[in-house]
Amino acid sequence: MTAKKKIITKLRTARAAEISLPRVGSDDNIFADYPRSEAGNLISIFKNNMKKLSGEFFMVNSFTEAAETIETLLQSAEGTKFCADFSPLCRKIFTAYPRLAGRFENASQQRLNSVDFAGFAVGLTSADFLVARTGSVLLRSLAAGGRRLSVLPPMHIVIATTAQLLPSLDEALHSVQFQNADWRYATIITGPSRTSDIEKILVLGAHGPKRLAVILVEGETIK
Amino acid sequence: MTENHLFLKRARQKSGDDAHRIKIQKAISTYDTKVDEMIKRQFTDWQNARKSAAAIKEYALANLPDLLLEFEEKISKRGARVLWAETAQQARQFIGEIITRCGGQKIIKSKSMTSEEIGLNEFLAGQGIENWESDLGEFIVQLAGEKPYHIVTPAMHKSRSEIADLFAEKLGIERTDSAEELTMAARQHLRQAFVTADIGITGANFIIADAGAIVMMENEGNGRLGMACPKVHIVLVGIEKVLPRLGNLALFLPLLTTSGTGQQLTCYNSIVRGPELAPDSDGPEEMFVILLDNGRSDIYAQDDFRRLLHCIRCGACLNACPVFRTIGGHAYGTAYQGPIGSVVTPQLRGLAEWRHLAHASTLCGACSAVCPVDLDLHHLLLQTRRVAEKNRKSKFYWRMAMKIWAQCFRSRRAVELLRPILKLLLPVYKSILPAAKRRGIPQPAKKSFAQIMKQSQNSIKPERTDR
Ligand code: SF4
Repeated sequence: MTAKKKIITKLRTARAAEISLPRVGSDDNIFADYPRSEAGNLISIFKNNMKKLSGEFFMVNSFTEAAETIETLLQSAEGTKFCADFSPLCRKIFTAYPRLAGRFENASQQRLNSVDFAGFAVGLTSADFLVARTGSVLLRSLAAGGRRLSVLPPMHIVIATTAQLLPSLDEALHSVQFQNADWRYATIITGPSRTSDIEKILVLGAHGPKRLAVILVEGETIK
Repeated sequence: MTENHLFLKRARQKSGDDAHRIKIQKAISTYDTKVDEMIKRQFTDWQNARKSAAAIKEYALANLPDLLLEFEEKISKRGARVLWAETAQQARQFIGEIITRCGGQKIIKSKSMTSEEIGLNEFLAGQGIENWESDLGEFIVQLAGEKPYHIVTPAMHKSRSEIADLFAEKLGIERTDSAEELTMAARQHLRQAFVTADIGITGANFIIADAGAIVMMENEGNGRLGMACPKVHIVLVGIEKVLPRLGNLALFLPLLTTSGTGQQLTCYNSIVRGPELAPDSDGPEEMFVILLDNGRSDIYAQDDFRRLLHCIRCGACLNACPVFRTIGGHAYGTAYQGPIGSVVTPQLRGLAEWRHLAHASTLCGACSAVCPVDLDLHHLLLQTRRVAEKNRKSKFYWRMAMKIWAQCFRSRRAVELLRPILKLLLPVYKSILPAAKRRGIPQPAKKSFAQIMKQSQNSIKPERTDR
């Protein structure tokens, strides 16, 4: 008998009485800090939560403004080589501000290896969702330039539109993108990489990005 | 020396170590404050959240075989290979085979207590394979040649200046007391390992049945790098880690994080459903998930212990435990420390050799009070003692002594009769009992409680308990 069969048989023999899937409340009744207010407020809740985690947040009103913000951020980066996911939103911004596009390499070129990725000072990606309650960014690798772009460079810049901002994790995990699409890797990012392993002292930038910046574009759509 | 003797020896030594006590109290009080604040800020009703989590885990366990098969089917469809390991030895063998087959030379590992359970580091060292622990705490204990001290905070017992000495010696950096500079030294050192490693080995906090996914929670980014850079990703995970639905994470991620570190969410929560097979995507080409039994199905088979598999390894019960705080994590000599370790180890590694851990508890219940999945650990500790005692062949004189003791203490009158005799024997205990020699014996009161009651309140009869 294979190990699998043995384990399953053992579990089946010992199996407990049938119980049905318990009904657990949704995030709005489990969490005291669930954002109940209007969309305008979601933005300020997201912003406050991100700032608490030492993330950087920028609210802009157009693709051009987004591009200008990115340009300013690049000036404070640790190097001069940058990489982007060239997602639809990213392309929109580059189209609105062509001189920015030339400064970024395209992450989905096959010739890039881990050393290349580690050599970029900035990884610019889109996201699937922003979550206000926890100040988190959700992204799937296929939609955001793969697995390495958002973790190897020391600064991660995320671009998103207000339509992507959700109150809580519940809504994101139950979305079509997460429930139905065929993805392989997703990550929920909450603040820049950190550790408290030495005497519980907080240090930013353990192995992942030391800086995380979110640029939220209001009043524009990707389509 | 038996495990019991080793345990006692280490425990005795640590409990007298004031420097150790100060470090641990400091770390745990920082933790306590953060956890209390986060529970208040975040949960409408913490007790209710714990009950909900327990109910989901109960459902998951009741349907464990089906959920595991569902997981296997779904993740296999996306190209991952699922390997079932009955024992630690089998799991190690699988990993050895994968390494040989892909010709791997260098491994980068993320924190995984399951890998401690199967002795993976020793195994890899024996095979002569380069293997780096990448979680900062784990990296510190690896450099020091020690074992993790705590399931969530592996280097809790090391002070900043001890780490400074260690890094200066092993990494050849200039000695620095700054936590930030020390962290950056580790970052730089491990960067090289990340970009050149052939295989990434990680644990998993959850297995999601309906999405066919594993979930890994971390703060540093080392886990993400380990599942992004190397060509092969191996996940080692216990079969009990199943949750039925992806949506369950909305509760379980904040719940585990709150109890684990007092954060709302850890920095990165990664959900992985397979290797990256599309031509232009980046990430590992191969992914293996090793589902480890290693005694879990035996726990599952015992009605009195099954709920032990609810545990999500948050470490809260360790921090709450007065015994853990006193003797420290290394005294246990196990991969899992504290109250959870004291219940789980006798199950996984044998009651006869490990039963003493169930006695390393005051049964105060602090562990049960903090457990985010509402596990009644102090009952399980008691149950472990009971089962161990039943299975044990004790010496004849001990059994007789216990019988006599039980007889006497069943009768109020016998207790009253014995009292003056026991009092007379006091000097004898003082000279022969080791505990009495160490700590002394308090003087007994002149009158017993029963006597005082009798005098002051004749209407209540304390001697009515002859049954
Ligand atoms: S038993 Fe409960 S408190 Fe202890 S580690 Fe497991 S989940 Fe946490």
